[in-house]
Amino acid sequence: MSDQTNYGSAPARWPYPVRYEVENRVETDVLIIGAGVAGAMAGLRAARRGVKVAVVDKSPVDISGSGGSGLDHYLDCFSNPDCAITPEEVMDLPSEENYFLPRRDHRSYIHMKGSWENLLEMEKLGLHFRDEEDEFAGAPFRDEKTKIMYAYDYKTKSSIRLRGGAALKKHMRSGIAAEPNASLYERVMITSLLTEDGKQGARIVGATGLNEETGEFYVFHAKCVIISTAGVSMQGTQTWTFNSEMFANGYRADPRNTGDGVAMAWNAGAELYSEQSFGQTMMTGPFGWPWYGIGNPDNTWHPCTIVDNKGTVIPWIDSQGNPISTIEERTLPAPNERYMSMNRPTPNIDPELIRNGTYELPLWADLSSLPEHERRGIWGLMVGNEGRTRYAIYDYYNKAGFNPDTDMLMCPIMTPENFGNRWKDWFQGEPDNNKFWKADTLKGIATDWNQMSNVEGLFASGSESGQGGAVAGSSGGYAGNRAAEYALKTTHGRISESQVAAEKARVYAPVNRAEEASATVSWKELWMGMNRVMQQDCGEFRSVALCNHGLMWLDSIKKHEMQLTYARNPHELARVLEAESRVTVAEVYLHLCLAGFQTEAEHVAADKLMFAKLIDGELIRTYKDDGWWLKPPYAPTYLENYEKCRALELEKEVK
Amino acid sequence: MAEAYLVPNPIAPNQTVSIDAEKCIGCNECTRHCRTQTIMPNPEAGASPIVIYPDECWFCGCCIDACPKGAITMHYPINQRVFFKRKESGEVYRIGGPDAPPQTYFKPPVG
Repeated sequence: MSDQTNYGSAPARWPYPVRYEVENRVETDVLIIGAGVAGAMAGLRAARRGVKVAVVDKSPVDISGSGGSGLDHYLDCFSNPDCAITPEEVMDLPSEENYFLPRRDHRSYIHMKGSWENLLEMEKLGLHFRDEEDEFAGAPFRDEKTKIMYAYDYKTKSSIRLRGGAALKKHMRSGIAAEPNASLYERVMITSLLTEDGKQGARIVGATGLNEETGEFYVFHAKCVIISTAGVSMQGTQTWTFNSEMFANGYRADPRNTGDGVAMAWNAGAELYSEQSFGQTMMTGPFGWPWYGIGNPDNTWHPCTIVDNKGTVIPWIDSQGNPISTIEERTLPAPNERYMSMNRPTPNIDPELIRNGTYELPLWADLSSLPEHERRGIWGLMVGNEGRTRYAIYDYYNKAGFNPDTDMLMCPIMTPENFGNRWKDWFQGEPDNNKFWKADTLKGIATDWNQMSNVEGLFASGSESGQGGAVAGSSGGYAGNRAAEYALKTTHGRISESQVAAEKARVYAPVNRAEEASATVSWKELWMGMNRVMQQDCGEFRSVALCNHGLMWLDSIKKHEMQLTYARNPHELARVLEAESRVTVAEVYLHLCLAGFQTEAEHVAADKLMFAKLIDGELIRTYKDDGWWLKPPYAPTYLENYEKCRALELEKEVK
Repeated sequence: MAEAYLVPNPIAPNQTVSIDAEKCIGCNECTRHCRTQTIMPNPEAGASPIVIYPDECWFCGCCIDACPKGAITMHYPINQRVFFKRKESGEVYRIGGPDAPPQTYFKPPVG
């Protein structure tokens, strides 16, 4: 128990100087909120356009964000010159052939179109993603000329494996640090957006922040901001469930991904895309296994052979359900398929064959039976560079005696039906087939072709604008350019000191009341309290009455228990503020559900897209025609709009 | 251990990473690379950092990567330790379990 400090001993002193209420004023042109892969690239590109940029992250930028501990494959790279299908062609595919992008808009185009250029930029920053050492010479997924290694679909070549992707964020941080126009603010958590005259919906003039080491306060005065704090959808079910002692286990989502961006944008009057359907239960946690560290045939482990407990090899089927017999076919689209979507070839596990004992559980992932290039492609190239795998899986398992040349890794034991479920990552474990709540379709802040929201000066990129995942950097770079151009033509707005003062009072309240006997509510309890509201009022069955009940319940918590939280150091203070963000996110879900019910009641045409915002307590819905992004005032094609937005940047590059 | 104390309940997992005080030089690089502040600097200058919030560790491994002395070890909780099977012999082992075989695979990760 030597690791357990403070248990029965006097507490250790906080290791940093404590400077609550001390205020730092920073003037910048563009403020980046959250510097994961998207925000870091946004900062770089904006700085290169010649404007002053403040890059702010509540974690150190070399490890922050979903890609902060690595990235092994780069999906959606349809703009790479060897890809058999172009971004324009992908946009034109009928929805049923395009599982990947069932709801396509200009944002999906932006991130696909810029993905290759973004990857080349990361290469310049030091990400040597090609197989320059020729370790994989002759492998079917490697291009002998470019030395690029593809993943999943070796014919279409839309996904690229990232050799050395584990260090991606280190390269990005060094890149920002080298830009004279960019300043880094790490361990600073942005707590609110500042608007002109403090009014909701008015132009953005800056933001406030808190340093989670020293507790000091920041006021950023900026011409515009880019929110790239990762979409709340990446939180998984944390809006519905929370186990304070299970962070480590199945959660893939960054524990610092707490919905701050959605909360601050909503509070500032930004419109959110209002989709409210419930999806699969990815990243649920309590039943999950170490990500990429349990036997499975998909995702980073594609196309690993799966055998049953008696050693019987499970046969595979292609995306159409047709039997395939070779390992090679697992890496090719079906004969009549344009490209391999997420509906990848998979082992054909008939649940009945498990029930009748033909297949005995547990199943095992047999890397040893694969050819060396596929085995090393999974164990070493993918596992080793993917987020949280280099040390937590690759190094850990090797040291524990696991040897991919001779050993098989156990697959999770689940209900038989779960094994037949396509495109399910087995490392999530149960209860994927059970009724479980997750609204994974909150598509974030609504943005236009400039990636600006309805609030002037408020831009979004990455997951926050529905452009998350491996290629988040392409949307970040695009948004960085757009925000810089906006800043070049704009002057600073005026900060409302009363808005700053009110925010400061909110931020430090848990510290100021910590000594009071009534201050008994921890950040964990507040979070769990919010979960209970959502479990009850925003579960599988919902109604107008329940949504209103949920809002009333949250409001009651906000007025009572949320005023009894305490923070004994800057760490706890940041956690309380994050829990408050989560409460706002829960309110957003309930408001969006209500907006959905109102839309139904008014028989709004099904092809209308709804956006919702809250201004002075009033829920406001607006509608646009599907495909509005290719209608006036915009150009009729994706390419024209994209090039128009990047025209000045490209001109500068040529000079 | 004859002494008994009134102490709070332990949190679980209560050991996610541990720091070997013999190897640690107190540089605090691990604390600078922990996004959840699971590991915090020791107020005593030069002493090993303190693993203060193990319940917030999400096993990213950035602390291990940052440590110049290889002093940090990660520990999965019991419920995350999976089995592997030696194909030829059929022997079954558990990651971190008893009688684990010695390391036989030493290739570094790619890149």
